[in-house]
Amino acid sequence: MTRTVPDTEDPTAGVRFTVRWGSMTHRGYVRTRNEDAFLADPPVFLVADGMGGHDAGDAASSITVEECRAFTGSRWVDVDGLHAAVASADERIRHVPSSSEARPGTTLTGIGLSQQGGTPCWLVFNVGDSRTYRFTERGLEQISVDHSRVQELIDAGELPSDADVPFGRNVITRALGMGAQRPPTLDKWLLVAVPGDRMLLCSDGLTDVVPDDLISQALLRAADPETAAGQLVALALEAGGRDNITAVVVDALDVRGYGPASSAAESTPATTLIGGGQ
Amino acid sequence: MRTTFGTALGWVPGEHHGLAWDGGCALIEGTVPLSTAIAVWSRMESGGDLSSFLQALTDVCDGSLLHVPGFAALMAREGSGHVAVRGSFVLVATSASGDVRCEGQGVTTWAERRLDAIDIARLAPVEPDAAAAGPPAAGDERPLVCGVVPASQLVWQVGSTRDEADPAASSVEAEPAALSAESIPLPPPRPETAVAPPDGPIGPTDDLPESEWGPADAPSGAGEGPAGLADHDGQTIMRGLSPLTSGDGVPGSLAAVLCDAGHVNPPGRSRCRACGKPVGGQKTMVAPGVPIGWVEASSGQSVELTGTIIVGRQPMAARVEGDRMPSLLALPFGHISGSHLEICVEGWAVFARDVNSTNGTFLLRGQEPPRRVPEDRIQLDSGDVLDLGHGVKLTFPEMA
Repeated sequence: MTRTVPDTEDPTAGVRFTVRWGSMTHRGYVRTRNEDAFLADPPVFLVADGMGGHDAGDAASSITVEECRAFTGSRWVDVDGLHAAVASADERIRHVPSSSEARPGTTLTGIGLSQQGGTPCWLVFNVGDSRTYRFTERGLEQISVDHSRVQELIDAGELPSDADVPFGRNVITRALGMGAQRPPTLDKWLLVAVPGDRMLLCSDGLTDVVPDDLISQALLRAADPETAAGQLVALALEAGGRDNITAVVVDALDVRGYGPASSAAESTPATTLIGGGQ
Repeated sequence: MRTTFGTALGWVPGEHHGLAWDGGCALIEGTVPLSTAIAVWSRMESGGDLSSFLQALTDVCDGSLLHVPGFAALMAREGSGHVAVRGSFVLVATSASGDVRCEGQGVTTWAERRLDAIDIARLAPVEPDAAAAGPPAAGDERPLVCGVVPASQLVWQVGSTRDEADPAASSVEAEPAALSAESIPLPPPRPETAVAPPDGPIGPTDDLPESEWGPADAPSGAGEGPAGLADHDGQTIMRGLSPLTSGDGVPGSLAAVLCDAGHVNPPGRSRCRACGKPVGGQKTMVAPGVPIGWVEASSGQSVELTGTIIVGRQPMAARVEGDRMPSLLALPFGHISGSHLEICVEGWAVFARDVNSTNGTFLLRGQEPPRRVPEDRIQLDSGDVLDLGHGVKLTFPEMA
């Protein structure tokens, strides 16, 4: 799939940020539903892990995907737009009827294609315990920080950062649709994008059961992002598949800025996006 | 001598410099040389507004705000005036609606104010006895039309209404004060050591009260940083102005002055940093996020100075909760750490801190030996260079 977004009036028209992506999701072997949802539609990529029982969890994650489709047709994701999407999703999820005790909610992690002063950047965002990683020649780096009880204890110095805690991992402290704070505060990161960057977005169905080194190996071996996403999900299924599993892999191919910030400035009035299937 | 001075000015002898010219008067700290006071006066005497006065004063004080002495100045026409006060001086303006007190203490640069319907303005040093004493007894005042005198207080009957009510006040046929050295007792010459050293505080810094510029108790407060106020271009720049946190509009907005072309400049600048035109004295507030300058990398990039800037081989702004993302400045060199250095802007002040980089950052400032940028931030001056090794440098260029 090749997509061209012409934008002749855009001052960032000369900025080139070409990405290729692939994704996979699986219900797993234990759960009866897949409450994960994802969006892989430039300029936004995200994973949402819904919760709440019956179909409420599905609804929460699906609503979040729908709201983030607001970026479709834009070249870039901006912070204000993200906050607006999160606020809308949060509000809608609160109106989802739930027949169980648990209120519906969802995590949200992802990346937006962004630019700053003509330099292409990854705008990473997170609420909850789904994760965004960057994989480069230097290895696997977790960018997002979980909103979980365990992470809070680590932040407070009460647990070592590599603590392997058998309990409380699934207790999250921030989510869309169920927090006291409306809407939940969205944590954000901004990274200069470099050609060869490989970003991984995933639900805890992957990271709870597949260790980092196996994730790294899969990301290193598979040249195609869709293959990488498929292999990651397969690893989680081999490990038992207790939870829903979702992986989205996004590769930066051609990344060029403009102006003095980029010595390799080149005037190209469009961004070309080559995509794998969803 | 001029005889067009339309208002009545009285002065009380003392150790400071009293200046009077057509449309304005000022009291300047007596520690500055008389020649300086005369130089300021002669420029004002040829006409000008408050910004001309401020410019004249900074120009004769080596162009540096650091060297500007304390003063109180008032320019007035037909009862409405423009006031500036710095250091241990106070201006009390009396009108039908009561007294307005303008103080220069606790202000990093100077307090500035526009007043309407002034009847009488009294300019005096802030001294416990002088403040308690109130206006001097009528017999203590001597008339002054235009000139420089050794004074402790100036009293100006500005308002025309008062003039009508008290014809005697407006009909004072003041003898012009002579400017010759014979008739003006010279104050002791100011020793060089009396000039505040670059590392020293600018004026009073303890227990800074709220000022025209807002609370000055932020970390950027004068005298706290290890770095000194530097005169970066022969004009002026000041350090330590804090963003206003209340009062004049949006939190985080910034006090500024506009040049004739409308460019935003730090308060106290005499010429626009963008176009070089004179900067009027008109104070304004600018929204948060307006760049106050820029940083240039030796590799060619430049980034505007606003908010926070993360500098590194692969810089990353991490875990931001608010609406504004930091800027990123990527320096793709192997010896530079992923995130190496953080530059942040508060008000008109710029700070740098090393963020635990492998190879460190060094500050090059004038002829001073290089020193390592710590992980606790230090304040930068215009013209500073940050050296990241192997020829990779960041400069904070002089502003045009």
